[in-house]
Amino acid sequence: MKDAMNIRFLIREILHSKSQAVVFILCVALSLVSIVAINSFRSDVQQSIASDARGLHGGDIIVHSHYDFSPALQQEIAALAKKTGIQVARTWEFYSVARRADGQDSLFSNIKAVEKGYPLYGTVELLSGREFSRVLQPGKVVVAPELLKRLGLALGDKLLLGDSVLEIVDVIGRESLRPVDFFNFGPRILVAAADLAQMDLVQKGSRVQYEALLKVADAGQINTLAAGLQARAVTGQERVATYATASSRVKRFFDNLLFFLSLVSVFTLLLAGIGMQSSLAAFLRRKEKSFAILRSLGATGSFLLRHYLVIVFILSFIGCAVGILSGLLLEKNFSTLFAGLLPDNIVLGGSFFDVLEGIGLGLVVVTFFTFLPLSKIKNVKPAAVFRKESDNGRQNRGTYVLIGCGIILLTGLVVRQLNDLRIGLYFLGGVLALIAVISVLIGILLLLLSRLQIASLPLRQAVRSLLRPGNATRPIVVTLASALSVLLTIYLMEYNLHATYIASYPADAPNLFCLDIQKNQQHDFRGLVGQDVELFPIIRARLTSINGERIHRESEMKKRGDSLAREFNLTYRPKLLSDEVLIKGDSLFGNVREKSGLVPVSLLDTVAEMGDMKMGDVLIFNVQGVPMKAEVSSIRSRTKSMLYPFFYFVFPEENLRAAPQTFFGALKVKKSEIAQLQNTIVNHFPNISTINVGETAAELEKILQKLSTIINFFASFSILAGALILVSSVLATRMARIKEAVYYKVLGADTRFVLLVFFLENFILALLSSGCAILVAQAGSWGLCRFLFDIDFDPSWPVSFAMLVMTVCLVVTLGLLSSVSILGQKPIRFLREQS
Amino acid sequence: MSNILLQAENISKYYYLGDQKIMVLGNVSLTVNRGEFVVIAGSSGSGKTTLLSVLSGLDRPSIGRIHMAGRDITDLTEDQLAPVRNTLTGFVFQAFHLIPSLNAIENVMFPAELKKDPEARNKAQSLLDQVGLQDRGKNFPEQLSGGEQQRIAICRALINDPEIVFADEPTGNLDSENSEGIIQLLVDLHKDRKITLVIATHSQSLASRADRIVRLHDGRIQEG
Ligand SMILES: Nc1ncnc2c1ncn2[C@@H]1O[C@H](COP(=O)(O)OP(=O)(O)OP(=O)(O)O)[C@@H](O)[C@H]1O
Ligand SMILES: [Mg+2]
Repeated sequence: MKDAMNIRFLIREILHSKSQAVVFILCVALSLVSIVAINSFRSDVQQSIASDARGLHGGDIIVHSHYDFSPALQQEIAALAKKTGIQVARTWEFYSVARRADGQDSLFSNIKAVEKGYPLYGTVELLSGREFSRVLQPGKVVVAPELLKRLGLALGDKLLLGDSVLEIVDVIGRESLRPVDFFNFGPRILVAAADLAQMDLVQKGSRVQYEALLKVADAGQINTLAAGLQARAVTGQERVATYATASSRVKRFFDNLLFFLSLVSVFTLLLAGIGMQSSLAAFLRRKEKSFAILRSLGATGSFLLRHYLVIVFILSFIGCAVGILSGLLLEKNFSTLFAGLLPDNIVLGGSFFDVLEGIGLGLVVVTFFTFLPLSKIKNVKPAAVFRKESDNGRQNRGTYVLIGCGIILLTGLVVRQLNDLRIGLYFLGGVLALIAVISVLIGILLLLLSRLQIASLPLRQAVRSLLRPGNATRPIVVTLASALSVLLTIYLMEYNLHATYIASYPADAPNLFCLDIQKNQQHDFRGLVGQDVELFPIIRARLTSINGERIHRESEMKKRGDSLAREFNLTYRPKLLSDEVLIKGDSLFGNVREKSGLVPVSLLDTVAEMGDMKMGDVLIFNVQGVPMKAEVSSIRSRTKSMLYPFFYFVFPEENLRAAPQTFFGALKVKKSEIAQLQNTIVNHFPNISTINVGETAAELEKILQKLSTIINFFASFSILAGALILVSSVLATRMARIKEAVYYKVLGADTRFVLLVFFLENFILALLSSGCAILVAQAGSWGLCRFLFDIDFDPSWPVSFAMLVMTVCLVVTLGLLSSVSILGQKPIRFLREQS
Repeated sequence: MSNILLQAENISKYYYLGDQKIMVLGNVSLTVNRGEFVVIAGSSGSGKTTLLSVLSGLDRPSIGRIHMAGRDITDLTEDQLAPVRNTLTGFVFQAFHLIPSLNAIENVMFPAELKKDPEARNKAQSLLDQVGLQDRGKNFPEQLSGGEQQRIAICRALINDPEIVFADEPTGNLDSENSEGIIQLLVDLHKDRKITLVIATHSQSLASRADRIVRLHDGRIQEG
């Protein structure tokens, strides 16, 4: 027995605590399920996007701009196109309205005009099976199936785009350049570049994405050529990228979504880890007595430790296997969960690497969360046979070193998972802070509870049981409350963002937006829709520097959220809008001009915060090639819904009157008349795009709904972790509860009394957990709404209440189930077990 | 009022281990009068604990009937037994069995509080005074010695003025000095309060003070 492994001992020890062993296994599995699923999903998404990066971007080199290319760049591209081994295709992409030839119906669509040779890489598959380049001739269009359906058209029918009449010759099956299409508010129309001039939709100031795609036969030349193009490009306006460096909207979307899901999964992992630790500790606590006996019979501490290491290893191995397999199985079924959001060429499924990664993760997690309980085994003294020695809580230096190493390891894991050192640290710090806050809160409440003079016997008994020394009340409440608070916070944020951005769209707000109204169309447009429509001038420009400091495109683009490097819509007007208030400065433009001679600019508070801009700061804008130096003259804030048109930068009219501009009109139309009016407008002004805001909001809502389902799905794993911790604690305290129940009965208590005590004990436990969770979640969400999102906060109490009720039901049921069995039985059996 | 407080008629108790039927008590009949002090003696494994728990209603006999204070308690449900345990009987165990989450005085008070006795605390305090533990009321069981715990347990058994107290090896876990104290306490109780005592014990010293000794051998009462 000295050195060898005693297999019998191992098996007996596991079988003797079956339930705790199962809880431990489930915790290990749960810690891995969602993270393995998400990591596997991430690599599948990357695979689908990156395996065909050229197909996704359409070229080896991609030149992109919101404006027609500058002459120097245009020359260079033209020169390259003449070289052998280099192929060029230009594209123009924009939104406009497509109409039926009879003018009966129209539809806001995404139009892409392409040159011969497009796509240089990848494919546009047509439903007819014909080759795209053969089909798309001048005068013809190929369209998404949705367009035919919504306009009631068929192949061979005519379609009006701007001033052109084009024939629909085929239907698009799949475009490798658009693996997902939920970003687009309107069906796709592909048209030949040769028809652009006739359509007359690409005008000064209108929103068009200009692209030139280059295919280079000699791959070694790609970077040199790109650098050469970059040298001629207007910085900040014209972007040159290779297929390897270009970022895509699809990639950014998945990066953001997966990042958030990673956060949620890491949180689940931490909770499941706590579950592992507490179930193992409970498992070992029950064994303390037998350890002491074994030691007094001559078993060494390392004998016990060795065997328990093997036990933990076996259980963890099973847990990891279960976790990894279910994670991969789950991922295989993501097509249902993510329906409509997935790239159409994605292949879901686990790879060998996913399994390896899962094993690595499992190793780190299990090691971190089990070494503390395990390290105590060696210290069990034979003397514990006689007395229940209370844990003096003192750790030796070795333990601290181990804890330190564990924390570093765990931090490494989190940082790796989130792929961001700063956010990883913030996240861990945040979780620690959350747990600390909840611990303190619970500590105070438990202290108050212990001080309370309670007259009712059952209630007093329940409180006493909760505060029983050695009871795991505090860790249970803390973990449960943490899980619940995160879940509730996620819900509250979803709810409030939804309420602000979607549901609160006021009935009297404009519901039809008209874009790209040309300067010379203002008068006629007013004549058509009514004189009182408000038209906002839009001048597109970039912000190049703040107080002499350049805006760095790369670092700005990396930020999550809005970017200062993007193109902004400037406007001019003399006064505040009805939903605006000044929060800095006494008037929109103050006396900047008199004082510094610079152009005054009024900022919206959101953009001022984004760039940390203050009154008096000097901003330099690039207004379509022309630099303009401006000084901040006031800061505004908005009071109404976010869907109302708003502008970050407002200038005096005289400074921008001459700049290339279009106008934006916001109309309030009866719902039933929107379609009719849209038709009328585009029939008169084919270049004007109209957006049915209500419909757009509904589209947006569908996607948000989908996303929130996905997030809730993953967040609910953390509740499972909380439930496991609860089960583990119920199992751990089962003997103690039974003992108490038997004592109550021997002293003459009836079933009602015993049940009442148990009920109250679990009820208080649940009340404490969910109460704390609600407090923290409400405070946290209020803070997030108020300071991060800057929106109104609605506490949505019924949901908090529902969560409370659900928690109470769950906890009480679990707690009662474990002890109800003894109620009808004769006490003597249990009394014998106790002696 | 009849003089018979407890009557067991032909009780047997079997346990089943697999298909094996183990007889622990065989056809035992026993009558205990009011105010009597009966000791159940016998070697280890002879069935003392089993008999005591069947007599007191903590367990149910396989065959036979138990009458307590003129009432057949054999088939009562646990809930019907609750008031019997609360007021008619008291228990003292070898392993004390105090409620660990309650301190000494709360343990003593508990049965009185169950029957909503407003005097619970005062009664408990005076019992503690009687057993010399007036200063240990705030201590939790784990902070008390075995002898102290057993005295607390006896106070708890007495607080509702039961007619009969059952004790199973009340001195089994104690040294001779403490045992002597407990024995004296029980004997005094019997005398002062006219309480009926049924005690299972190996202790000669305890047995010698009893009115009657019932000897068990292999689950049967030994005549003589
Ligand atoms: N649940 C049970 N299943 C099977 N046999 C049992 C059970 N409980 C008790 N026994 C057996 O019944 C017999 C009598 O046990 P009991 O505890 O009544 O003896 P005892 O006289 O109190 O012994 P001691 O003096 O050692 O306390 C023993 O042989 C014991 O093994
Ligand atoms: Mg016994």
